[in-house]
Amino acid sequence: MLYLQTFIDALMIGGVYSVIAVGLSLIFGVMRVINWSHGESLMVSMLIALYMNQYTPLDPYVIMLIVGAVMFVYGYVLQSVVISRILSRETDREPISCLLFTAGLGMVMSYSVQIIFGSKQVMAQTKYNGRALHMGDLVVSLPKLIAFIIAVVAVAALWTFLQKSEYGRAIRATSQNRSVATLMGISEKRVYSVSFAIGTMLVGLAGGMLIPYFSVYPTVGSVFSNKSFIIVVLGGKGSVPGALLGGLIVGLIEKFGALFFSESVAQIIVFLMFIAILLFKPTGLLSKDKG
Amino acid sequence: MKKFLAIILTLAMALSLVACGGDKPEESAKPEESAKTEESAKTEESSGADVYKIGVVLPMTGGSARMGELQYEGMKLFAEHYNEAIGGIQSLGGAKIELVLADSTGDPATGASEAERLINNEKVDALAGPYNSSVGAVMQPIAEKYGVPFTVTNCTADNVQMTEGELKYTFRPNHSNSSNVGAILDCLAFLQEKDSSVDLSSFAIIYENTDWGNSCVDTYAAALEAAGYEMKICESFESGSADFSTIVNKIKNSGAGFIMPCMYVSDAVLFMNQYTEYGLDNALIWAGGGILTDDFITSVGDLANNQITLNGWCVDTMAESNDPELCDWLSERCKEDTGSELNENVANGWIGVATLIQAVEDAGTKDKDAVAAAMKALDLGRDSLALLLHAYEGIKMGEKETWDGSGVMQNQNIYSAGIMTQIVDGQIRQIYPDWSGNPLVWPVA
Amino acid sequence: MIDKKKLLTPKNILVTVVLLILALLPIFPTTGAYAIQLTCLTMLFIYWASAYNIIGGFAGHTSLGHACYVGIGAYVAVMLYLYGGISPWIGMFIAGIVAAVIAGIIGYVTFHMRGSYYTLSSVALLNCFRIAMAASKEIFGFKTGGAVGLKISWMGESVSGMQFVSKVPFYYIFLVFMILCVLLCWYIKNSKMGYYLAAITTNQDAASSLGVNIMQYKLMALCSSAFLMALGGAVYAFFLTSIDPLSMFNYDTSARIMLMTVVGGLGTLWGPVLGAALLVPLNEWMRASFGARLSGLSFVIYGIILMLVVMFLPKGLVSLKDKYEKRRYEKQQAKEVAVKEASVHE
Repeated sequence: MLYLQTFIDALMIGGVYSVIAVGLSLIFGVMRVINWSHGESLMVSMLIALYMNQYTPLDPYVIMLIVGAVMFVYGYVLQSVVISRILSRETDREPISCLLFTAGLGMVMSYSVQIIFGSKQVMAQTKYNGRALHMGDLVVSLPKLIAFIIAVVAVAALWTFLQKSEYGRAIRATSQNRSVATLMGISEKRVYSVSFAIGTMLVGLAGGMLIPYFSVYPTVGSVFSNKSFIIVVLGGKGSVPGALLGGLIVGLIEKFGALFFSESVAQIIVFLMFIAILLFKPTGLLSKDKG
Repeated sequence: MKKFLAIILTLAMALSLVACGGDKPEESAKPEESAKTEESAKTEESSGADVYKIGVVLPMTGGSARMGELQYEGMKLFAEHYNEAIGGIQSLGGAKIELVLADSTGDPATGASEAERLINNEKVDALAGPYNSSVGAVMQPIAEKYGVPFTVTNCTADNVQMTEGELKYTFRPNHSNSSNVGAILDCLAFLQEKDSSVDLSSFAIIYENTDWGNSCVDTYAAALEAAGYEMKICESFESGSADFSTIVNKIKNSGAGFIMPCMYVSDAVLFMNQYTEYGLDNALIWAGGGILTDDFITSVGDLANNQITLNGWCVDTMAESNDPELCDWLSERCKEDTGSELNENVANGWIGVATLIQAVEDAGTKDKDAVAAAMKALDLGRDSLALLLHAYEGIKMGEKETWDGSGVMQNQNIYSAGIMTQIVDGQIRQIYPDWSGNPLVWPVA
Repeated sequence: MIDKKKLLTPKNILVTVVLLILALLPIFPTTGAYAIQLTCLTMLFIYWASAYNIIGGFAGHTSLGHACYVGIGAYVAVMLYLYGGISPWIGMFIAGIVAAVIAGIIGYVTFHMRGSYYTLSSVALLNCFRIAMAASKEIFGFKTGGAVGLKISWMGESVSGMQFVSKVPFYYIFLVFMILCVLLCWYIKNSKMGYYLAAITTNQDAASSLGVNIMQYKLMALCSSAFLMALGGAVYAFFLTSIDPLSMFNYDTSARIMLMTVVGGLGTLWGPVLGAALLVPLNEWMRASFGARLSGLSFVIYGIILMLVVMFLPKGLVSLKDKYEKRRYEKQQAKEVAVKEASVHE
């Protein structure tokens, strides 16, 4: 029973990791850009959701949708106005400038929040806090379950969008071969902006779904971003099913590692696995090439 | 051209020198102005005669920021009261107490460099702080090296008051981890006797992987084991990243009698929520930390009720105070300034600075060695202003053995002791030592 | 080979003057202890930024986890001193070698990664080290202090134990380190290794097809960089007298070092020097003047500076000099043309 409980917990937390990582993966896959401020974007989303929850009577999951929309706009604007300028200067090599720029941006976001709001760790008060479903001996936390369901739905929706819709195909084409896609008439800049925006939107949704059970403080982003980086590499950059699988795997290692050893050891195992993947299958678990 | 570059380089160096060398001319002028006390002419390192500067190192940002803020409030209110109601340090001709605040961010290296800056640049007469045991452990050798009186506030790890040679300048008026051991063991025995249906013979300890968390294990868990309690689970976690579901599961399956969490606010809130979610029913005996703040109570609401914790102070400790009006004033001001009720942090800030100032009064001079000697010689009773909030029998610095006799703490207030408290109706109330008339909910249903 | 005329350029003379000032600074009576401390830290970061530049700039591998070598250096030196009684003067070199060996292994394993992947792995490794050191109470039977860390108790002055009341001895150590490191970087840049690294950075595949042993040169760069970082870390540990996993394997320190190098000019000789010389005093000054409440402000400024530099001055502040020279040259050309035209019309 203990194992089943651990398994369920692992899946639920893995699902949330996935939805955060998949945005990063998409951006990395399409634009070859690592958004180093991904974690801080999550923190800001959580902050907005927290305040909206405190001052408006809206249901936290409605707030989540609003924050998602806000973050979509933010990502779109950030990319089209700022990042595209930097990107256009890069050669075909991995764009380190974007990494550095977003690292600076992340620093500004995190420390500004600390100055303005202080470092207090605040937990949102919602009607879902502490509630759980009891199925015999099993306990399933309600806010985590809802987060898991939304996360999986979001990832599935994204995948469908990429596979079936016109825009989605344009995005996939660009990620496979930038120059050819442009020749085919696809606006590279537009694709980038939409991809980036989708990435930040997913982070916005994640922020909204986390607040019923996760505290908000200026450096909360780094907890998730470190894991996101690992998941992106694990699943293969640009791969949506890869990010989902990667998130679940990280969740499982964390929980079962903690069960058999301890939380700290579990963290180390996750990092070691990351190194192993980089060594043996750097293009990700689900990719077909040998990297 | 190349000159341009060299100019920038020189400017940068010059800027850095100006930035820190700037205020020196003023400092050297001050001692000449004041002819009041001979001492200030002797020690060129001290501030002007009308001010007694205390350098305060506290975490104003970072995970313990709230506790740092509350501790500073205690110190600030003392300085304000002493300067206005009493008129400053009497034996120094009414010198005002001035607090110079520096942020340690909870990090030892930052705390150390801020302490050095306070000593060398701000020329403070004494140091106070720093709440975090890890920072205190680093500040102690600095205070000893430069010979600056250092009153330790909170910072309960035993090792802060331990060193190989003689500790001359570092003093701790409030309680230590070792002194808490007695309170825990006695309280557990008391509770077990009160209702033997609750099995308290085994425990699970969960601690954050920091200096404080580890010192909790080294002191409390070790002491409990030595006293015959069975340690079923001993797990650490990374503060802030926690999802306690696995630990909570393990505890559920372990059959431990009680759980002792050692964590700060956000982790405590998360743990409380998950404990409730998973329907655990083990007794909870907290080791202090985040549960001592208002924020915990407001964050978890009703769940906070009936939580038992180690504490240094609570409102009942203040009940026998010799100046209830002053206590009311403190309560009001604290609420106004910080939005929080009085708590252990505020009280420890008060007692720390008050004890130091009493020593300065006794010494009659700002000279650091004299003040340190006065601290050593202190023997305050219940009527002292320093003991306004606490219920200690007195304040007297001496040697105290650690709980297992393996080491000796120096300059520790021998009357200091921890207490056990329980949150009842959203308020922290003392349950041990047993004060008659205090509410106690046991067993916790 | 050394041309006397080339050596006596205005820049070199000025640099020598600055160094002389630095060397004599502690002796001036008006220099306070705080100025000494500040200059110590500045020199240390100049040293570290230059060391970082070897792998980050010359070899083109942007690592954000370089602080792990600082941590290794600190722990090895402190543990050797506490448990083996080995003086830090010797201990620091041992620490450097240990770091270089570990770096060699890490490099061998991670160098096939390019760009962002490499950066990710460097951060993952840093986190790994930090958590491992925090979680383990001992290594090979010697206590590491876990999350609490280790403390060097004050037992009086000792030259062999690097225990001093004043910071002045450390000042001179850092000064010497800084000078030697910058000289080393200058040497590397103008040596065969430097040329090969430059080729590898520009176009790795072309370089390898020309027969350059990529792995060898990258490893040389990383190992020397790690050795230097650890050396600095060892002395820093004795400067602080207390170490713990969070402050020694610190991501913020890594980010700051990278930032200084990038802002100054990645891959250049004076870039790291300039970056550190500007940003470290800025940080300390802000902390001292704005105090407790706004202590995060310096990082906000750091972030803004980084963003501005990446946007407008991608080659770093040293490139300002080139732009200035270029403009002067163009102005000169325009002048000459105008003079010529004027003389033609006469």
